[in-house]
Amino acid sequence: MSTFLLAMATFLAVLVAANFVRVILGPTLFDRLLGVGAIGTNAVLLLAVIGFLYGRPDGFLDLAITYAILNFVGVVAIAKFLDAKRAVNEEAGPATPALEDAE
Amino acid sequence: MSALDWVAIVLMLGGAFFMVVSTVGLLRLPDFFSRSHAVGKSETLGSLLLLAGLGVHNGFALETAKLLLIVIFITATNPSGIHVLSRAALRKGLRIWVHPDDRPEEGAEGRTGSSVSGGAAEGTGGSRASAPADPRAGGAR
Repeated sequence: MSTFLLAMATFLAVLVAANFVRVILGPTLFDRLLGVGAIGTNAVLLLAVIGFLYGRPDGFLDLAITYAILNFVGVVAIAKFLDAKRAVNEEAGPATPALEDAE
Repeated sequence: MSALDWVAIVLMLGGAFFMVVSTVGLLRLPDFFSRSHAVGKSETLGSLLLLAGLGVHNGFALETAKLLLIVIFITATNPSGIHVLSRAALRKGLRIWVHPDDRPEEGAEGRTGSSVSGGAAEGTGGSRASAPADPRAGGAR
């Protein structure tokens, strides 16, 4: 079972790397954010598997819960920031970043 | 290995399968909304199966309760976070990808001529933002 958990952890790490490709070359900002969210979910699973692999799942599962909460809050905060027409200062004009990156 | 271990292995392999489906969808689908469709559902199901497999492997203990907590949290937050992101993208005017065969005739979208012809010559298409004078060729494959 330990070998299987090690293989599963390696597999999840490979999936994180594959999701990071979308973060690097996603054409819009939202694609990058979607990739970041997917990497966060993968990291939660990776933390849980590593906890059982090392034989002390209690601490690692606390870390996984914390990471899930932080991931959700981060994605929702950035999405609401992008959704707002004018952020923070009403007279500063549209403060949201451009939809597409330069280049 | 006991029978429960085999049940756990089967559950975790199913979870790994759905994680692969989510990653392939994220990498290969043509625009943001279809990518969010792939990630929002298949990744949720994959994480649920994988965490269920870990819970079966652990048995009846406190860690299983924590795993159940993570399962409930991911079930609630992963699709809703992607929903918030997609709503922000829709309100920002991100263009929904249409298959090249289903695209309307040139000029029907009110875009500039060079931009429309560039998009039609592109063939396979890709995700383009709603900026009217966006001559970006190459799309977003």
